[in-house]
Order: sequence, then C-alpha cells, then structure tokens
Amino acid sequence: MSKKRIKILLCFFSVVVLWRCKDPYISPYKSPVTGYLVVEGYISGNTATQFTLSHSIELPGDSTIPTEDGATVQVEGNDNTVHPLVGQGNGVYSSIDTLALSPQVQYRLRIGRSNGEQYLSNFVQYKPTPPFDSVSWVNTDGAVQIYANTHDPTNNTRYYQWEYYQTWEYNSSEQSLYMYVPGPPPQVIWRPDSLQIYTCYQNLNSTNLLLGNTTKLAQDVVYEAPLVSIPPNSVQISVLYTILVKQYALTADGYNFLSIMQKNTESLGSIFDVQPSGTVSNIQCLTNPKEEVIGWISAGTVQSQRIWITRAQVPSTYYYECQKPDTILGQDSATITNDFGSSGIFTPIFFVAPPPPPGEISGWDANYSGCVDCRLQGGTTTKPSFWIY
Amino acid sequence: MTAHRINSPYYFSPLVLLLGLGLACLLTPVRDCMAQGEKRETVTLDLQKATMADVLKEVEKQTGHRVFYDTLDLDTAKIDIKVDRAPWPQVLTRVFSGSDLSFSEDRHGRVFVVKGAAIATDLPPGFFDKPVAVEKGFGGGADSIRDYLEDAGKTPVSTLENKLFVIGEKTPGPQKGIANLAGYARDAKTGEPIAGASIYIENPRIGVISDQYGYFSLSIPRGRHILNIQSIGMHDTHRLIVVYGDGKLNIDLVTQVMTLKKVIVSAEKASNVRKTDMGVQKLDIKTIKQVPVVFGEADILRVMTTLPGVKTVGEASTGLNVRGGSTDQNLVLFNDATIYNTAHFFGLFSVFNPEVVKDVELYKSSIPAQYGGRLSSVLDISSREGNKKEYTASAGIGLLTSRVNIEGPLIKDKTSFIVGGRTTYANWLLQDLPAQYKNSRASFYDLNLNIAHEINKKNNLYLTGYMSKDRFNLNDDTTYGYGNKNVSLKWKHVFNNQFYFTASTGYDRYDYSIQSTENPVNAYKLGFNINQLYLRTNFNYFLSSSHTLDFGVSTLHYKLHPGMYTPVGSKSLVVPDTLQAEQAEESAIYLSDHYAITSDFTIDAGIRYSLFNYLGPSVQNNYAPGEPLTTETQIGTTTYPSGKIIKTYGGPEYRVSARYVLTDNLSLKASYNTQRQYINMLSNTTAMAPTDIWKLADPNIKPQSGDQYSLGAYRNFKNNTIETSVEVYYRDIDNYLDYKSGAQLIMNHHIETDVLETKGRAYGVELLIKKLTGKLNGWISYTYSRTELRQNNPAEGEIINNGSWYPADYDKPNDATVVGNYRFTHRFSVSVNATYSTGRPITLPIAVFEYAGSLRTLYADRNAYRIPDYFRTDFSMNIDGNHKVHQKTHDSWTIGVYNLTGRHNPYSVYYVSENGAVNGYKLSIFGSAIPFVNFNIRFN
Repeated sequence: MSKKRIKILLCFFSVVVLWRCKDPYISPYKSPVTGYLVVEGYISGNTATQFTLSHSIELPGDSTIPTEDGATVQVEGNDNTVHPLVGQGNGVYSSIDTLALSPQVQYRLRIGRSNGEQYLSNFVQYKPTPPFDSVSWVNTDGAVQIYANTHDPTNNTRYYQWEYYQTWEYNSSEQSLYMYVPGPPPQVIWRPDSLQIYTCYQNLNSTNLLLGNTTKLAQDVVYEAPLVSIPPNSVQISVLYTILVKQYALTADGYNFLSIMQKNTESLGSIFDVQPSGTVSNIQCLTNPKEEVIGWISAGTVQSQRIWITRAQVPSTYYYECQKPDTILGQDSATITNDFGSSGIFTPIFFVAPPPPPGEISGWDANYSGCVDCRLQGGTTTKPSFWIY
Repeated sequence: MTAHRINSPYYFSPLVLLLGLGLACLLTPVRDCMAQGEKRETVTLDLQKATMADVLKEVEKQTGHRVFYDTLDLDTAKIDIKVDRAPWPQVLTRVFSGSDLSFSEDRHGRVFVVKGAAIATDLPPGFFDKPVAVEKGFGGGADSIRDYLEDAGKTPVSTLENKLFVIGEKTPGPQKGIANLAGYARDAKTGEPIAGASIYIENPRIGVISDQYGYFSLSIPRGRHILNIQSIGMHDTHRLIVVYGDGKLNIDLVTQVMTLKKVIVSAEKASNVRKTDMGVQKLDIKTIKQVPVVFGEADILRVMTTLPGVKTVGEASTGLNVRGGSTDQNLVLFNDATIYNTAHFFGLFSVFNPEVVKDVELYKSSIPAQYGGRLSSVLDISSREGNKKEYTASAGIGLLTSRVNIEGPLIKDKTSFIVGGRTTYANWLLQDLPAQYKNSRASFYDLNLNIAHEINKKNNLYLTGYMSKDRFNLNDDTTYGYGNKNVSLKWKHVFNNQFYFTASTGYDRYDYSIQSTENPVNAYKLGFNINQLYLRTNFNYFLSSSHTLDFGVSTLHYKLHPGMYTPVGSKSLVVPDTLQAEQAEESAIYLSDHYAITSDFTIDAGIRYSLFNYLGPSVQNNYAPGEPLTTETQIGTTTYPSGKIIKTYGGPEYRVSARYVLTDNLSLKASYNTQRQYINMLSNTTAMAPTDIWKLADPNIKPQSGDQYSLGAYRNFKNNTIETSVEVYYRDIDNYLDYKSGAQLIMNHHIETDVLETKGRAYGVELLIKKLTGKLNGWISYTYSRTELRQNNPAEGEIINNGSWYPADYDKPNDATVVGNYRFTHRFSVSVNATYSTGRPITLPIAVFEYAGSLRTLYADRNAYRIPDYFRTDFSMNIDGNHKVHQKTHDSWTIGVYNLTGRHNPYSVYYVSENGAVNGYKLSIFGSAIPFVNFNIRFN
C-alpha cells in the first residue's frame, strides 16, 4: 500500500461510529383496565408488621396509584391465631405492637375489601433472618460502594432481600443570617436558629429489588452483596451520610417471585434479554379466582443495621457552587418586598452597615435563594430523630 | 452423411479457412500446388490402427488430390480400413461417418475437410444464373450456405472445443445403447473443482449438475454428441464427443473475466425450472460479496436472510429462522462439520471467513435424505480447496476485522492447501459506547485449514480444520468466552463411472465458559460443552439415465457436559457443581432415488430411518405418571450404568419431491418431508445468546418432529436470465420446547420441570425474482409467513395464553428484500440492499403497579404485541484495481454505508423501572448510518 492509501485508511478509521441507541418509546397499544390488588409487606416477628394495599394502573403509569383503604387485614396462623392489622390511611395497615409469632407456626394473610372481595394467601413458613455481619463500604477514587455482609451458621437462610433508607445532611452555598417577614410592615429580621436554611436533610430509599442467594456456596455466607453506589464528590457525603439497611430472609419461592419481578422490571434492555414473563403470586382472590393479585407474602424476622459516613472519611471535594456573586440590595420596603418577599428570588444573607467598605454600598447582601436556601435542593431542615450529631 | 451444425461462437469460419488456405497455397512451393495434374479417383488401402490423418495422407498420395485439413479437427480414434480400388469420396465418407467432418472438392480438384457443413467451393447455384452440379454425398448443397459473416474475423480460442474426444473403445458399426461418461469439472487456472456446473447434451436432452467435488456422471446414448458445460462465473464451453462405451472426461473451465461483454444466454445456467429439488437456494461467494453488509465484512448468514423464507430477529443475531423454524432447527454444516454457534461479536458477524468459503446452499423444503437431525433447514457451506497450480495470498483490512489467506499446491496438481485467519480490533469501537458499556471488551478470531489431496484418479482425501473463539465482557468483570473446534477428514472413492462413495469422519466441539472473579467469595467459572464424533458414508450410484440412487449410513456420538460450576481462587466458597454428562448415539440409514420418469417428470423419493439412543451412565429423575413434571411430582431417581440404553427414539423420515416441466421455462414442483430432531437449544432469550445451552432428548424430554408440505411454480424469462418462483408451504411441529415463566435453564438438575412441550405450526408464501447475469443483477424477495405455537395441555403444568395459538418470537408476517448490483465497468460496481419487515412479536406490559419502592410493570400474555416495523437500506461501491493479469498484486476496495437512512430500527422495545418510575425505550443496535471501508489485496 502506498502512503497515500494508508492515510485514507486512517481517515476512515477515525470516523466515530455511533451504534446502539435508546429512544423513548410510547406504546401505541391501549393497555387494558386492570386495577389488580397489589399487596406488599412482611409478616414480622420482631418489628411491627405492615402491609400496603394498592391497585395497578394503566400504562404508562403516570397517574396516581390508588390505594385500598377501609379493608380488614389480618394475619392468621395455622395454630388458629388471628392478628388483626389496623388501617393507617394511604393503604397502609399495620400492627400496633410487634406480633407474637412463633417459628413453629405457618402464617397467612387474609384481606376483606370494602367491596366484599375476599383474598387469602397461602400459609408461609416463618423464617428467622440472621443478623448482619456488617454493612461495609469501599471507597474507590471517591466513589463509595456500600455492601451487605451476613452469614447463617446453620446454612438455612440461603435467600435474602435487602432494603435501604439513606439520609444525608448537606449545606447550602451560603448561610443566611437574616430573613424576610411580610409584616406589616415588611421587614428583614434576624433569622432564629429554628428557621435556619443552611443545613438540610434528605432521604432516598431503595427503588431496586436487592436480592441475593448463597445456594451455590458451601457455606451460607453473603460477602459484599452490593447495595448502592455513591458517585465521587456528590451531595450525599458532603457533610454526613447514613444508611439504614434492612435484611429479610426469604423462602425459595418468595425469592423466585421477586427475582422474576426483578428480571421483568429492572434487567431489560440488553441484547440478550430474557423474555418478560407472568408472575404467580401466593395470594389469591377467593371471591373471583380469575382476578389477578400481585404480591408475595413472607414471614420471619427483620434485621437492620445503620452506618454513618462523614465527609472527612471519603474525603469529598463537594461544594454547591453558586452561579452568581452576592449582590447588595436596598433597604427600602419596596425592594425587600419585591426581591425577598413576593418573588422570593433573593434571600438576605447579612447586612452591610453604613458606612460601607470602600468601593461598596451598604444594604442587604443577598443572593439567589437557590444558593442560600438548602430546602430548594429537595431536603428539609428538620433533623431526623435518629440523627446522632 | 449427417453433418452436425455447430453454432459455437468459436466455430472455425470456413471463409477464413479458405482465405488462409489460399494464402498457404501461395506460400507453398509452386510445384506442390501444381502437382495435381494427373488425378486418380480410386484408392487402395489396407491400414490398421491408423488415424484419420494417415488415411487422408494416403488418399492424397494415391489420388494426387491435394487434401486440406486441420489436424485438430480430426478424430483421435484409431481405425482399421481395407478397401480395394474404391472411389476416394466413398472412402472419406466412410472414414468420416459418425463424425461431423465433411469434405468438398473444388474445380481444381482440391479437397477441403472441415467440421460441420462442407465448404461451398462454388458460389451458390443460380448466383450467376448458371446451374451448378452438386454431387450427392459431397458437401455443398443449398442448405450448407450459411451467413458466416456473423462469426467472421473470429479466431479459434480454445482448441479443446474443436477437438473430438473419443469416449470408450471405438467399435465399428452403428452405436446403440447407453454408455456412461464421468469426470470432473475444474477451474483451468487453479485446478479447484467447480460445483454446480451444468453438463448436458441437447438431443436427447440429458443433463447433470456437478457435485461439490466437481464430479459428474452422465448416462447418454452412444454416438456423437456435443457436451455442453455451463457454470455461473465461467465461460460456457462444450466438448465434441463420440461415445463408444463408458469413459472419462475431465473438463477445465475458464473464469469469465469479461462479465460485461454480453449476456450469455443459456438453457441450463438458471436451472431452477429443471431441477427437481425445491426450496433450495445456492449462492456463491462472489454474489455474497456484492451484498453490502455492516462494516463491509462479507457475511454469508446475513446474505441468506435476504432470501425468501429466511429471517432473523435483528441485527445482533446471526441465528436464522427458516420457514418459521427456530434458530436451533438449522443444521449448519461447514465441510461436514456441524457448527453450533454461528455468531461472532454479539452476533454482528458470522463465524465464516468469506475468503475461504466457496458457496453456500440452503435447503429449506426438500432436504436430501442424506441430511437429518434438524427440523427446518440444512445450510451446507463448502470451503474452497486452494489453488493447485501456484501459491497465492490475499489480505483484507476493514474497520473492525482483518484477514489473511494463503493457498497453494503442496504437490502440484495433486495436493493443495488453504489457510485463512481473521481477527478483530473492535475495542476502539466499544470505547464510544454509552457509559454503561464503556468498559466492555470484545475480541474474536477464527482459523481455517483445508487440504485436498488426490491420491490417484479414483481416490481423493479432504482434510478440514476449523476453529473460532470469542471473548467479551459487558462492563463488569464477568467474562464470556465461546468457541467452535472442528476437524473432519473425507475420503472419496470412485468405484467406476456410475458408482462412487464418500466417507467422512470428524470431531466437532462447541464450548463456552463464563467467569467472574470480582467477588472473591462468589468467584466462579461456568463451563459448558458439546462434543460429537461422527462417521458418515454416502454412496452415489448412477443406475441408468433415469435412476440415480443415493444411499448410506451415518452414526453420530454425542457427549455433552451441560454445566460445570466451579470455584475460582482459594477464597471462593462456591461448591463445585457438575450436571451429569449426557451421551447418546444418533444413527441413520437412508436411500433415495432420483427417478426421471420422462424428461419432463421427475421424482426424488427418499426414506431415512433415524434412531436415537440415550445412553448411560446417568441418573434419571422419575415423575409420577400422568402428572405435570415438577419438583413436587418427582418420585425418586433411577441409576443407569455406562453404555446402557436408557431411552430409544426413532422412526422413518420421508423425503419426496416431484417436478413437472410444463413448458421449457415453466415447471411445477411439490415436496413433502418429515424430520426428527434429537438435540434442542434451550434459550429464553430472543436472540441466540452465547450462554444458550443444548440439551439432548432424554426420557423426560421428547425429540422434536415435524413435517412440511410445499408446492411451487417456477418460471424463467428472457432466455432464463430472469428466474421467478412462487412457493407455498405448511409445517407442523411437535414437541417444540417453550419455557415456563421464570424458567431456570442454566445449572438446572431437573431441566425437564422448566420446559413445556408445545405444538407449532407455520405457513407462508415466498416469492422470488432473481437475475444473476448481466450488468444489473440481484433479486427481489417477498415472504408472507406466520409461525405460531400452542400449549393447551394442562398436564404440562402451565398453559400459555389460555391455550390459544400465540406467535413465536420470530413471527414476522411480511418481509421484503431487494438486493441489486449494477456494474458500470469491469472495475466499478454499485450495490444496494433494501429490506422491510413487520416488527417481531413482543410481550409488553399490561399494567403498572408499585412494589419495593418503585413503579413496576406487569406482564401477561406472551408475544401479544409487536415492535415497530423494520426498514433499512444499505449501499456499497466495489472498486477493483486494474485487471492486468500479470501483476504481482491485485487490490480492491469496498466503500459503503450501512443503514443509509440512519433510521433507528428497533431491535427491541422494553419498559424498565428506573429511580422509581417506569420508562419505555426503543433499543436500536445502530443509531445512525454506518460508513465502512474495506481494503483487499491479493498476491500471486
């Protein structure tokens, strides 16, 4: 090949080839009206037992999920014990105290809807959950990966499910010392500690099904089952981060039910997709056996573990960058009403008292509220009850 | 005397001959030209084993007539002749009887011996209004006046075409009865065999197609014939033969370089009207290379999908769905070796190196009795044999792959080899993927070795070695690897002209492994492999001109390791788990007869009896009789010792096809065939995945069986340059495997509890218009087809879609493809490929619900919806370097664009729960037009 040809070839080599792309898809098909009863919860022997009843909706799933209130819900044991649950609103039914359950007894759930439909689950084995060995984390170039570790010395558990509840503290870019009050008269006053907007707390719970099994291992050991990954220098670990992990033991059937649900709803989109398939719940409608019910009832104990991670432990370079430098606004009532009050665009930070420093004017040093009010990033200023600092 | 007219383009124009002879006469010493004063009209001869030339010389000597002839025209046969004072024309008439030589005498007493019509030594009678006496028995006469201007100026190109070949021992007297002619058709330049060449005589019309070794055997009446030989891509040729008895004739064909000169009109070239088999598509590698494909890498399987009745689920799959069959229902043979995984690189390429492949034949309805073991089709891929005359090499560079091939003689004209290799450097491409695939890696290679050896005229040996390997990981540490390994040895022995046999033996292996070591406690390796050892014999017996028999026996020993799950590293707690090996013996005996009842009505009837024995050692799960197979209904196990026959399946398979020719270019065909398949692929992914496992039929899983009825009409237009066909078919499939919801296919010790035996049916109409010659060539195909499955037997444990028929994953009712190539010059051609198909069925969610902190989708009936339709256009330009024959290298470029319109063709649509919400996506493998360039170079 001549040199010229090599050049041409290299030119073609450098053509960036884009392949594999994902476009949003809106199904042209009208999905049927289902309204199937969805039952989610866990019959727990060491915490309050709680179930949520809701209904399925049509695709694409942008309407509100209807909840089922006014039903009677009770846990029944095959020793003829009955443990009623109390409706809390929003489709939530829970026991007032921890139910007195026995590992030797099998339990089931019975639901009577206000429209007369009756539902009953199969009896399920009461399966105690082994405690955590630890909830651990590994820092790889600033990215934090959190893992669950546990083991069952009796090798009986084998199937696990985890849920997590993350909470983190974070700060706004600038700390506001003053606040606007509409009055009358409208004025800017000293901000009390109780109304601070510099430190916020935000929650994020698991949205994926986190499952694990040890059926292929010699011992029932779960080592570093991945739970959640936090990107480097993100807001989660900008001040203080905590995660509460709950662990549930499952039966093989319960695990398979959730595993199919996971494949159907979380694992699609690869080249070698497994075809989605229907799932069979362990709760049925007694009054209309053809009606589908979604959910798997399991019973046992719940283990939980909370860990804390500070900014210094990672460490993080996170800083919520404000796009604008501070600006000095006038003290007249029209200005404070417009800028701090009705529009709420600006939030006062501190007062530049007369005489102003050279080159400046006196007035309210302020910035855009997004830079000053941490709540505008989604959190609340209410310190959670479990917060230790 | 019967003078045969030869209308060959290379016919030796008598006018030219005359001019030439005149010139020769001028240049010859005068006394020779003039030494013809006294002429005697009788001769006395007593010659034994003399040639025609000897006789002519003697006649010249005794009579004084100067005789002009071309020794190449003369018969090579030896003759005995004894005459006493016989008139010389009588002697020549006798000597030339049975040949197409004729002679004439001009007014100077010169005698001209020529082939075909005798030379008119005078102007036609009446030319000058003056009667001319024409002697009877001599050439001349009104009918011998032809317009030779058509061929004037042509010089003979191939002397072989003008030579008369004598087949068998020459016997005097009239030749009656049938004799057999056999031989090989070969490429004159490389010595490679030419398969599919049509060899025929016109009167009576008897023809045969050379087989994959280039071998042909033809039973024809004794006597003089013109044997025509035609093959696509080669110059048409013919041989003058006189058949006295059984004999051999090898024919060398010359590659047709001058493709643009004119359209060679032929009777047999496009012989789909005359062939008995139906639903057979054969493509040679030249045609395949013209079709633009992604990244410019000529791909046999992709091109097959442009043919009617052949589909694939999408771009990332080379698995073929033939006439509603699943991808595991195709027997893919590469020189007798079974290839289990045909995909490289996530299915974007096929595993066959285009430089090594000679041609591909797909049987989709009338499957010859010698093949069996798969329900839908046989894809027979033949490799090239390698140049027997000289060493050559070629290399190709593409965006993703490079390849090198070397071929040449080990022993000149006897033994040749071809070695080919391909590899990829695709990782650069993967770096441009979206973040979630950024750390993906993929690589593959394949290697080919073929050796063909001619032991002697009757014995040939062929050795094929093949190996392919793929490795990839998708953004995590789980590494996937798979590969094929095949070696086969074939012996061909010719007993006599009518009878030959081939025996082949070989070993095929397919294996894959998955390994993950990121988590030291869970670090594992999963392995799977299939091994098979086979011996196949095939006898081919040309019983008579109306019967050709094929018969043979074959046996195949399977050994499968369905799963080996082992720990990796000392910290791993993984318990080694091995699914017990499976072994079985699949044997078959078959006989088929190609019976030409009349030249217009032909039947191919075959029967194959296949027998499958599932062998120990094995521990088989037993289930309560009449109950669905579930872990709950299992009632113990039975242990079988090594070699024990655990379960036998078997039965006859019928293969019948018939052809009736209505007119020269219109025929009807019908066929019926039954098939049995004893090995199934277990896969619940739509595309063929590298983790799919294969499973033998066993006591709990019955083999699949099926039958197919098809009917077709074939019509050729414009002197057979345009072929059209319509075929309809209906298929039934029994015991097709589908899967229970959430089936676990990998490392399952009781796989029978997760599968369902379903019934399948498929039907369709296939239309094809094809033009394979001329400047513009290509084909248009359209298929309407349906494939449906049904599981309505409650005894199986699960009823799918309420027991009604549901479409199979690859059911794409409408499918149309246009493949076109236009040659502007010898060195420049443009190809376009356009394809449209209905979107494949998909299971879409019917509802959304909230569970485990997220909205999620609910699925119900299988395959109740379809993904959007597929449409794609590709374009490529093929630029050849100059065509000078004697240069060290020949190079060519292929430049093109795949998916010219940049359409985001859906590969799948799916809903996924992300951050608590349900989002719908359409996934396309190629999100834009893909330009490509390929450079090929050939060294002599």
